[in-house]
Amino acid sequence: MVLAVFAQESVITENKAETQQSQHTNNWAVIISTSRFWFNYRHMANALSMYSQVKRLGIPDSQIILMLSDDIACNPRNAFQGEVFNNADRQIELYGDNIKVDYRGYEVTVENFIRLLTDRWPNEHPKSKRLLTDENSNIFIYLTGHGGDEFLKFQDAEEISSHDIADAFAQMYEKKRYNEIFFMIDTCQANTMYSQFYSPNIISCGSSEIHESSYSHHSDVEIGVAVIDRFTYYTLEFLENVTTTSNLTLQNLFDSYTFDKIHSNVGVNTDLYNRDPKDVLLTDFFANIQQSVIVEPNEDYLYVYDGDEEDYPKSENKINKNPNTTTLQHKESENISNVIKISFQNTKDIVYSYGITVTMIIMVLAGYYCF
Amino acid sequence: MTVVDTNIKKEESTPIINDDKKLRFSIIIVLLLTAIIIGFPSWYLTTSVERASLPIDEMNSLNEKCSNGINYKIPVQISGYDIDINELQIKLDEKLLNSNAKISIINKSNNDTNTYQLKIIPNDIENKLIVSPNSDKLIELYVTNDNIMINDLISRVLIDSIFNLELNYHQIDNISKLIKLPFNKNYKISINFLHENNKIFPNKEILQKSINNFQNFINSLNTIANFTIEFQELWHEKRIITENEYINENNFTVIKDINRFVDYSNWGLDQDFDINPIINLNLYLPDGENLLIENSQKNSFIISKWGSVIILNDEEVNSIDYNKMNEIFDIFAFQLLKLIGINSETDNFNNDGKSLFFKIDEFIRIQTIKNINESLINFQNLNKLINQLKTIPIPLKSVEEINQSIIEIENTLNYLNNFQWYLAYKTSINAVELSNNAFFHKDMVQQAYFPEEHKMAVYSPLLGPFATIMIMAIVRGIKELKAK
Repeated sequence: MVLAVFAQESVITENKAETQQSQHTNNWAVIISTSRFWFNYRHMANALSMYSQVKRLGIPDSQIILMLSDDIACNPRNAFQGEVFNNADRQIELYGDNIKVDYRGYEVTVENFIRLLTDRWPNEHPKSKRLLTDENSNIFIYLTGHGGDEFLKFQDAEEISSHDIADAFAQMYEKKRYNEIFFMIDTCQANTMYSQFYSPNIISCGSSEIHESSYSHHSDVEIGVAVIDRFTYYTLEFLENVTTTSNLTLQNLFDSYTFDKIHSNVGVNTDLYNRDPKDVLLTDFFANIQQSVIVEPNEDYLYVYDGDEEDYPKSENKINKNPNTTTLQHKESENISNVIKISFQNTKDIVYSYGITVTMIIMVLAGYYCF
Repeated sequence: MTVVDTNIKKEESTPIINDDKKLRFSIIIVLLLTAIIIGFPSWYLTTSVERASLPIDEMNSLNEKCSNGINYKIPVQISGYDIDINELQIKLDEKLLNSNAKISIINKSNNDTNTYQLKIIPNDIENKLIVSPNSDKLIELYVTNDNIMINDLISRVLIDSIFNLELNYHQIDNISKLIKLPFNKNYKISINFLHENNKIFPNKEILQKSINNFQNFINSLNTIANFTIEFQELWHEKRIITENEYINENNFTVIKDINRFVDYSNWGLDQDFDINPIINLNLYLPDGENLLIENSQKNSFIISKWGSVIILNDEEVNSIDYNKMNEIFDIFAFQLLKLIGINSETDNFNNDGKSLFFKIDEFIRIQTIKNINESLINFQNLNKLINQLKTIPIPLKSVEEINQSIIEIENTLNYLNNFQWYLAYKTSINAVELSNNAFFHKDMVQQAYFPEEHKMAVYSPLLGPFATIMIMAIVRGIKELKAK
């Protein structure tokens, strides 16, 4: 039965108006290498290269979802153990000690990718592995691996179709889980993967047309396999010139792709996107620039003052807390030399702990005197 | 020579062979029936997508009830002046004709704690309005004796000053919408003191006392959400040089581009272990330079849906005292209220004069309505989703949660009618949570698109051999029976 009367004007109108007015206030990146095995070295290098770029431009790890088979760095065939390079000159080591892989190995599945997009997880699923976006989030989604006509293989075990991703985006749109999506895919027949999308505010870019392969850029003789794909290589080359203050646009990026460089026909789909790529800054998707405003309090009004607790408004479910411990912690992280944390304990808990202590003392004393 | 009578043996063996054929045929039939009666339904039930029926009628009915908005009344009792209550009520109703929130003038004495008390005090000097800072919901209106249009004055005071934000919450300014974090019943407040060059904040005693004061303020917000506080001092690398910043004549570096001031990736502010929203309140202590935010009186700014920054330069840090520390936490308190969506219209002069009690009550009523609307939108989205994706499962648990959510919305509407704002707020939160759980149920992730050739690929190796054997056996059985 179709919900005919659900054409509820007041709620829906307000909802749409909000969406139209909203601008992005936060950036997320979903970066996935769907391949595994040593000979797919370049796919992991592709993904790690994009990861390092978005991180360099300020998207924090908590807002990057990285899915990798992660079987390359420590692969017995790797002549440079614990290291991954995207160029034969081996100037930039991608694996390093500062990457955070959210889904690795056999966790890189179609099901987990769909769950990630639609946020359908068991309650115990950790926050760090969730795409906690909202209606103000711009999401950059990058996929690399082996693809075909409207499908993408996941680890030689299963495949995701363009319909699956299109439907997942539709569900995200319904639940206002994004403001805009930039979908980038580097696989064979990549452009077919966005052919079924139907949700608004999605701009897509793929490395190759239908029945067309996507090629690797070059191999490293010592590593013994190709280390990067052409499409990703030239994307990175372009992104290296981008800073958080850069005015380069998506159109500039698209214009930089030529057949001579990529050896395949790069596709761009703007049908579902309501902005001209000429007006869309690359930093709208690759950087994390959070809008800030100067709003300050009135001089005459005090919220926090040197008053008793009783002077403040009371709440019906009030649980008062007082800071009771101060600890000094030293973190060895590169950026954090010292952290002082003050933890808060419920007054109720203190009463309980006192009660238990007193009871135990009484019992010990009673036992001592009785026996 | 022995003559063997073979005819007798032939007569005896024929029934045995016939019995075997009958038995074989019976076995085939039994297997076929087992496959049809048990096998086929089991296969169908275990391979078909679970799609429980949503309570469409109840959803429709609730939606119709709320289709013109959710109406509720704010009770106000007037004392101290002899006024025509009916005339005032008509005037208020006329002015609030298009608003879902109405003001209801209570006639008789009412000790209900949810009723606002408007006390009119005759005064010879001036007309003025005083809103009580306490929880008594008392509004004192001082009027001069020459005020003949008393009803008009009262209606203007109530609509344009006291409840103006609530009555016009649809027109909340864009900046407030941009700042406000998505609603949650739990928040974590992370207070960060950010140092450069490993400089430590000088006076810990003052800091501790100020944090205690701030905690008291936070306790006053427990009605609307649960807040946990974490305080940390962090050392970070040098700040990013922002675009167009310059050094002014007083040797202050003036920051124009506040959007790029914070380095979210490298300042150690990134937290991804707490599922609840985190509000980051940052005190930035520059070293070796004095920073000034352009167009800012307090050297502070708010970062949309994330937190805020206050800059405290060296000179101020060295001379910091208890009052200054309280002033900083006062700015944090203001920023916190903005980030959770309380008092969204700072430009409005009248709104700034309201006590925190009034603001919290106002927030609770507005959020209750928003929660109901969000639940209804969730119903709508879920319905649209299952109509659009024919193969997506709908677990029974989701249906149960929708049913529970409908009950919670009905309860919310009842509580609103009885002026029980806090209970309405609580039940509306439950309604949103349940409808969200129904939409985001973990079992609703089966691949939506499952092409027919995939089904063939999966089932042919499983069912093909069995079907072949059964068909061949039936053919043989029929042939044998015909031969008999």
